[in-house]
Amino acid sequence: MGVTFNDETKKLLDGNNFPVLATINADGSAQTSVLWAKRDGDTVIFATVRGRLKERNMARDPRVSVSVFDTENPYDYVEIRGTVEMTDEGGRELINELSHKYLGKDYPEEPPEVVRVLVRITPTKITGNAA
Amino acid sequence: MAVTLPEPVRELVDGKNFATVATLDADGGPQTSVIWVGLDDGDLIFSATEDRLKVRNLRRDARASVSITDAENPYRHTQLRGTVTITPDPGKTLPKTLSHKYLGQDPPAEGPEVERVIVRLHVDRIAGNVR
Repeated sequence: MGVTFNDETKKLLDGNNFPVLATINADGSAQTSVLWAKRDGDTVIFATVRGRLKERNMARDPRVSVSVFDTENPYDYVEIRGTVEMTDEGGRELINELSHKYLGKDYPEEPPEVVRVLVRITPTKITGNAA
Repeated sequence: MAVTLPEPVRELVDGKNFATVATLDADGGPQTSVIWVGLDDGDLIFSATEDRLKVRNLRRDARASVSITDAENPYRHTQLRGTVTITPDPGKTLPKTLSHKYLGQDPPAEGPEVERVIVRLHVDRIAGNVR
């Protein structure tokens, strides 16, 4: 059965915080990047671009870990481990929605050859002091 | 090859900014945690205890990735990839130094059974918009 988010974790994900995502490189080492993300039920969603390192990494190995802390109080944090599913459906809409969440404005237009990918993390384990 | 941290990256490490470190679990999956970091002799260092998952992971596979965001402007961030060396911290000097850096006070007392270590990152690759 799926893992669910408690209220603290929901608050961290619903706020304008900047989660850090870790993916696995081809050589087995870890790669990290800072994200815009939001909660969708008991999953975390974010948008990336087809061909970026993290996208290529997740296509090869869907295991990820995300740590997120409250920018107002960094001592509240949570680590979410899970696996990702990626789809081209809704990626562009999501980056625009995230731009509104974080910046309150539209995301800049991108050329049509940029393929926006919607990434959904389904958690398998949650730890941290807000878990 | 280890690289020397450029000045803007050193400033991020030296500032009161929170970092996220990714390590590798036994099954090769990523694990992340939020950490305090310090700048020592040009290197990023952090404190941990011997029993922590991240330390057990790093003793098995020394490769790590650390992302740091500027607390004043989260759109400034750096990603440092490299390998770590772990040395004992019997005097527990680093937790004290970092607690003063971030909170301006001594850390809570720890019993002698808590084994503190200093983790030093030897960077071989820098990404992100601060580099």
